Amino acid sequence: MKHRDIIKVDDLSYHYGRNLALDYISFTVRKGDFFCFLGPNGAGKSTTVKLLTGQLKLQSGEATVDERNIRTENKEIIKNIGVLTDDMVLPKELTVRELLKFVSLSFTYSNSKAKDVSNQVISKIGLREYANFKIAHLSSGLLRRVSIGQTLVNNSSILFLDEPTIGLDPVSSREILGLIKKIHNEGITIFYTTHLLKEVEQLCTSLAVINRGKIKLCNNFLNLQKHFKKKIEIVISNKLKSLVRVIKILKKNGWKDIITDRKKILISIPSNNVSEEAFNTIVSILQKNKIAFSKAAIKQLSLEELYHTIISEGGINETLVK
Amino acid sequence: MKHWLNKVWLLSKYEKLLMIRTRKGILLILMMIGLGILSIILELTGAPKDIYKFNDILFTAYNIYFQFLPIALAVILADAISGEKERKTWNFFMSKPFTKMQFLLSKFLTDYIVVSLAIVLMWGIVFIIAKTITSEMNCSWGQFLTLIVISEAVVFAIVAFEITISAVSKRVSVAVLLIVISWILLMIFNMAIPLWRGFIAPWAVNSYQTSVITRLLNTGPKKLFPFEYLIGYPSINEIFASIWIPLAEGIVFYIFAILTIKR
Repeated sequence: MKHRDIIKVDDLSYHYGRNLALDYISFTVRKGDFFCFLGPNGAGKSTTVKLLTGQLKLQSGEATVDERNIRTENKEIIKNIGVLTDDMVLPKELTVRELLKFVSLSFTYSNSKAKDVSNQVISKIGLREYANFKIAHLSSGLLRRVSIGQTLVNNSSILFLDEPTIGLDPVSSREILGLIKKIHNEGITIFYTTHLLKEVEQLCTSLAVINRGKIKLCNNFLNLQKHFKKKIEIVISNKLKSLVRVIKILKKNGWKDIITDRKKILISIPSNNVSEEAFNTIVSILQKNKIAFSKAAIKQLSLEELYHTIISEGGINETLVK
Repeated sequence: MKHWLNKVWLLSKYEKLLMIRTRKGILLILMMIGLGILSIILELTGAPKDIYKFNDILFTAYNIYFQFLPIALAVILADAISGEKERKTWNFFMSKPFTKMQFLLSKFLTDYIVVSLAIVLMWGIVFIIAKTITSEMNCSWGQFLTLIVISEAVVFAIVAFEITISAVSKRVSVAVLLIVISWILLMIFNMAIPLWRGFIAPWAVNSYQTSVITRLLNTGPKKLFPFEYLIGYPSINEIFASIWIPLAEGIVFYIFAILTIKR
């Protein structure tokens, strides 16, 4: 069954004063996805989350969250989503139980229902023994659990989690990721921003990469994974001029999945080809066309390398953008 | 509407809890009572007098107290909204289905209730001290209660003014500075703008409220600038005007805050 798009972003742009934070970005997220929004610091991840969750006012473009327009149905959206942003701090004077009850009551639950819901959430996030602790007295890891817990109170269909593991030690980080994974397995769509590639590999089912306010890549993670397989790396001696020629020649010979940056070409090896055979074929094509190259090798491309290729100037092949 | 008010109530409960747990509420009340006692001491240790009159003490207490009340309250009220923004708890509240109007109203109501309670306590203490010193009460209970009601109306305007400044500031320190600057400017405008003289800063010496209280208690300067033309015991209409003008000013401040505050 094909899932419907639960988030649709179309030509969204945003300025902080004169600085452009989002440069006409477009992407979609399907219902049930674990969508990772990947990008370096200052890329525009948090701005996107704040726009989609009504914390910033839309300047231009259109977007819908769960079929509701963020421009006109902001209040309805807030009622139906859970949000955790990196610049959100919970009121320190409340206890865990008081905070969750307060959030439940904000969604106009009755007093008894609010009590039940807060108890359920406390169990879900595994904080029963800390329920009467003040927020101010919790460790970073426990605090992050409460932050995630407060997004679960209203049975939302989408959770926006903006770098939820930032600043945590590896053990706490692992626990938080486990909790988020558990929540996703219950069928909740997760919009997850991060700059940590390990988390992307562990969690996501689809992803978009953003850099300097522009979407550099948007793809289903399974489709993208083929780029993690073996690649043939060729470093061209005469750089730009030859680079364009090489791409043309390779494409003419049936090699379509090519990623380039200023210095090198990375060619995906289709799964039905043996890597050594593919390597020999490409080398012979280059030699036949008298193209000088300083290096040619079979390479295992990791997500990190793919990410750096995407983020670096020169960008990526258009075939990777949905 | 019921849900809307329930949310204001919920936020007010949070604010009340905050006041109790941070001891902000009790410190605020103590500070206001202390300021009341200080204003009496300043009167008693000022120009030497052989006989102190009950109503003179009340008037001086009012005069000194309300001159500096906006500055004293700034220490606590500047934090109301800008403190939430600085601590980033504002982002938490705004990610929940609350409107900024509900948030402002809850802050305003809770802070006003605490401050008005402190005012009643302060007047109670001033009353006891004045009675002890003078062993007489040369004003009626009606006059004394009217004094308290006018004080409460003036405090309404002060609380609204300070919460508005807090709402437009992102940092507490900036809010405190803005309150002090605005306090100075309003005092200047209160004396300088024709037709509006005496009506802009209800806490000022040269305000319509002070003029009414002077005549109500039959004490202080006989002709008070800019209301030299008002003489004799104030009429009911004048007393009502001295109450509704600061209330209206407070509402104008509140509307301004709603229009200017950003999510």
